[in-house]
This record gives sequence, structure tokens and C-alpha cells, in this order.
Amino acid sequence: MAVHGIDLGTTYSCIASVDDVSRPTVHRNAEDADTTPSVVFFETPENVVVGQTAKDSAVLEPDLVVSRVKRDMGLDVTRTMHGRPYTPEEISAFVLRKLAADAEMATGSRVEDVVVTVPAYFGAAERDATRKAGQIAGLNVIDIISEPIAAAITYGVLNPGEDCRILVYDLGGGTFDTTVITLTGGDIEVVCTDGDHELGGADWDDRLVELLAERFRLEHPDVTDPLDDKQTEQQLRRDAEELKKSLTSRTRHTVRVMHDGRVAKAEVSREDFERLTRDLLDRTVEITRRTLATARSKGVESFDHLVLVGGSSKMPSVAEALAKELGVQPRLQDPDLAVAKGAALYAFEETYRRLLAGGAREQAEEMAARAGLSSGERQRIAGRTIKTVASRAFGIKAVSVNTRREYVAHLVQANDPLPADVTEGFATLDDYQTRVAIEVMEQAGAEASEAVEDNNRIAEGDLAIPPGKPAGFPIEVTFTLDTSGLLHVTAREHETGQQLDLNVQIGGMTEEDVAESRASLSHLTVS
Amino acid sequence: MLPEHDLTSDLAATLARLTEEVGREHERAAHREQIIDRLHAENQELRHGLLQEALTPVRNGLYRLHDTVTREAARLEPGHSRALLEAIAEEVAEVLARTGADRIEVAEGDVYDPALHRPAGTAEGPPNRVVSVVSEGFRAGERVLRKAGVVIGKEEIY
Repeated sequence: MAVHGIDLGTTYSCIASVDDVSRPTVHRNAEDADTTPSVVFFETPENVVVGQTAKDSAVLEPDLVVSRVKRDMGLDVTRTMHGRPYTPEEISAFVLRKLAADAEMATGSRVEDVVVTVPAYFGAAERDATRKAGQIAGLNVIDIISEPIAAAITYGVLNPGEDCRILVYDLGGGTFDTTVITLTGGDIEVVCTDGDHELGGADWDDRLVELLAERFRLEHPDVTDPLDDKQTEQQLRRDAEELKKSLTSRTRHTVRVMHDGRVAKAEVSREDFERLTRDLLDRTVEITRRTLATARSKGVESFDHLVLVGGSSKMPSVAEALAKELGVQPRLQDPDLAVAKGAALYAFEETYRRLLAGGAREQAEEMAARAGLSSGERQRIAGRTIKTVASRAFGIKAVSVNTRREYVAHLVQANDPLPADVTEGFATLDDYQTRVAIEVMEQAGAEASEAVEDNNRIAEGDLAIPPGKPAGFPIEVTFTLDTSGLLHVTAREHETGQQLDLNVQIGGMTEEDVAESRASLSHLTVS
Repeated sequence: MLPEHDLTSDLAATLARLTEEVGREHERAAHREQIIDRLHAENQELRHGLLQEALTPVRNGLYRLHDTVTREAARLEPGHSRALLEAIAEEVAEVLARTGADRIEVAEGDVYDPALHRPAGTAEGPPNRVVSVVSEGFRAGERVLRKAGVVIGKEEIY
């Protein structure tokens, strides 16, 4: 039984597992590519297509094609296809099913236990939604981990016994994230994270397309605009991508822009390209600086490793700018696949640890032996833990006794280590209250705030109060937040033992919904 | 019986030797790891068809050349220049065939097949059928290397 790691990305996804020499290996999809577009096409009510073909189909049936569903994770939104509403969890489940099916075809072994990665800024609701997507896909999600942590695992900079601080710079196709991680006494912790979710490698391509078109216009002002012709535009996009790749290894490259019976020779040097996109790179450097300032305010004064992730970080100007700005030589290896590989390594290690902890030593050792691990490596893995922190503050809505002002009392603060188990006492406000409304709130903005409008309500329920109680009748609220960021809230009064249990479900999918959709969607074919 | 100081110095010497040996073993193990890393990377490349991968950029360049020449030929009135450009496109297709990439036969009126066709747009015409071919597709045996770019018919265009 192999365990798998899945990088469930906004635009592309990827699946990997640990092979027989304990190296993480990415499994190619049925189309022979390492990564699969996270695009879903609802071809018929019974058949769903995922990947490149789904992406291509957007031209024909734009209303039946869904892309970038990751942005909706944790939100209560559905998209109706062929008369059936689909939640973001269900749509993501199709992507996961395609990845699993293709990996099964490539390796011949079943995909069951998986670790799925999410951005470090994902809160409880988004993580929960991601876990449920896995369950709907028929997978056993053993854990959800942050993408930068997965990348740092791949880079081999998280070694127990070597405390360190890591800055992860992740420039993908359409998003940019920076994260500071620390490793202290074997515990891995996300210190802070920042980014721009509208900035990515596609912006660099756009600039090149515009440059090529402009060179053509200058030379041939008397013919039609190359960007007005769909075919020429598509060709220019492909040329821009090739040009970008070419300029990572060469210092200049010539593209012949052909359109309307004319040709313009556009020679582009690496300096031209860098000048053209300087402001984009500067934005990433500025955000990186801001992240480091936040880390400093949390006591992390500097860092030991700078790790580059995301295909777009291959541009030489990225490493140069960062080295100049930060005075540290960045590490760059396989940045497109680093997250999936790290997830695979983590999935493997976590399974080994859980087998050991569960007393199944024989099974654990057999698994380690199959991956060719030495006893030293086994010990190292057994001792490693990931300590995650709460990404946001959580609390309940309360009313102050004197002013009757509504505010949010946070029980768990952002960056509190997980798992967290916090109990606080509250009391009824009025005489003879028969119930207390428990409204669970999650910090909405970047900073925690008591103001109700700066928080989102993520769950609610009523706790019954015994009759005839005067104001000030005590109730107790407990927040339990596990390492995946899943929240369980209990409110109780001790006199009759009445208790209210709440599980956070922003997306509105209960465990029953998940089971039901798993059963109903299993009849659909995914190709 | 040996004097005590000899015993201590013997032990110290043995320990030093063992430490050195362990150190050497460590180095060798680290070296082996490096070799495994390298072999692993090579193995991955081989599995993914090193030769095929090396051909990819060459083929991409030839596809582009084929597309461009075909498009330019289509713009011209029938005549010598057009015939010449068409001949160049044919030559390019032949070079591609020699790398193992054969043309996918696509004709107007064919039923749209997402496995072979990449829709480039829609136009008025018989629904779900190829109205025109904008770029040729290529395959190596059963494996589709590049889908044919096609315009697909839709009953009504608003």
C-alpha cells in the first residue's frame, strides 16, 4: 500500500509517492504530463472530463467548464451543471479522482491514503473543505499540510536536531505566496504568510505578448493588429512562453512575428525582458520584505534558507533579485513539483509514525524496509513532528454586560500552537433566559479584531438554559482546534449537563452530505 | 596482567580507530546517497523516454513552422508562390514524420473527437462536426502528440 501526496493547485495539480529507494516520484497523468490542469468539464450528466481536454473544451461549452475552483473552497457557493448543484468540494473531488485514477494506471497500485496540500493562509473552513473533497473522491485523507511546509520538506531543510528558519518564495502561474517557517526542536511552525493572489507567471507572459505585438505594429503600421486575430494571438502566447523559457538559459532570443502576410523580427534580450517586468518582480520583493518584517515582529529576526517554489521562480531574475535584496543564495530545484513531492514524503513519514504510535511496529518496519530506509533514517523520521499554528483567531460573539455592546471574544488567537484546547467561562445576560445563541466567529481580515464586522460567522447553535435562572447563570465554552485547523466547539452548563456540540462547516457540507455526495458521484465517470 | 595505564591507552586507541572508521562509513554512506540520487534522476528521465523528451522542442519548432507556412500559403491566390509555400509545409510534415510524428487525418465534416481535436473556436455549421482545420495534429502510434486545432460547428451563432 503506497501513500500519496497531492498538490491540489489553483491552475495545476500533481500527485506523487515515495518509491523503493525512498525518493519522492511524481506520477504522470494519462496525457503523459507531470501536472494536470485543475479544470473540470461537465460533458454530460454522467460523464466528467478533467485536465487538458477540459481546459480545451472551454471554447465549446464555457458554461460547463469550471476552473480555479480552489478560490471557492470553504465558501457556500454552488455551480449548477445539467440541473444538479455542485459544491466546490465536489468539483475538487473530480480533480482528485482524475489524479488518483491516472496514478493507479501508471503504478498499478491503488491510491487510498493521501496527504493534500493547501496554501498556508487557508483557514479552518478551507482546510475542512479540502479534506471533504478528498473524502468525496473516495480517498482517505490522512492529513492536510501547508504548501510551503511540503516544499521545505522536499528541499531537505527540515531536519530534526538542526533548528532553522526558512523563507519560502512561491511564484506560481497565477498566484504568489511568501511564508516564514521555523524548525525548533523538531517542531515545524508557520510563523507568518503573505502574498498576492492575482500575481503570477502569467503576468510576465502578458508583458512579452504585448512586447512582440508592439514590435510588429511599429514595423507594419499599415496592416491589422496581431492581437485582433485569434490565431496570431494564440501563436504569440506560445511564442512568449517559449521566449521566457529560452531566456532562462540564453541571454537573447529572436522571435519572428508573422501576421497578415508580414513578418517582424523581434530580438529580445534578457535585459529587455527584465526591464519590461521589473515592476512585477519588485512587487514580489516588496511583499517578501513585508513578510520578513512581520516575522521580525514575531521574534524571528533572520532566516537560514531561502527556498524557491513554483515554475515561475525559474526565471533567473528572481534568484538574482532575491540574492541581492536578502544577501542569501536561494535554493532552486524542481520548483514545479516540490510541493507534491514534499506531500508524498510527509505522507510516507506520517504513516510510518502512526503505525509506530499505534503499536504496528512490524508493519511500520516493513514499510521502511520497502523504501530502503536505514535505521538512522527511521529514527529521524520517527522523531519529526509538524507543529502548526492557528492561521486565524477564533471566538464567539459576546455582549458586554454594562454597555450591551456586541463584540467577539477570541478563545484561540492567530499563531497559537495547534492542537489547541481552550475553555472560557461566560454567563447569561438577562434573567430567565431559556437559551443562549452560540455564534462561532473566525477572524476575517489580516489582523484580529473584536469588532463583529471584522469576523465571519462560521457556525451557530443554541444551548438550552434551565428555566428560572437569573442573569449571570454560568456557561462554559470550549474550543478544540486540531492540527489540520479543524474546529470543534462545545458549550455546556453544569447544572443539568446540557451540552451543545458544533463542528465548523462553512461550506455547509455536513458529514452526511459528504457521504451522500460520495455515493451519488461515484456513478459518474471521470476521464 | 597489563598495567592499568596500558589498558586505558589501548582503549583510547581502539576508540579513536573506531571513531575514524565510523566517520569513514558515514562519508561513504553520504556518497552512496548522492549516487542513488543521481541514478534515481537518470532512471526517471529514462522512464519518461529521454529521447522523446529531447525531440519535444524540435517538434514544437517544426509544428510552428508548419502552421505558419500553411497559414501564409492559404492567404495567397493560387500560383507559384502559393504552391511553393505549400510544398515547404509538406516537407516540414515529412521531417516531422521522420521523428515519428505522423499527421492526424482530419477533414471538414468529421465528428468532433476531444481525443484528437482541440477546439479553437465555433462557427455556424453542422453541430458537433469539424467546420475547418486551423492547425494539423500529429501522433506517434496511438499517442497523440499534438491535437489538431479545429473550428466546431454550432447550429446558431448569436
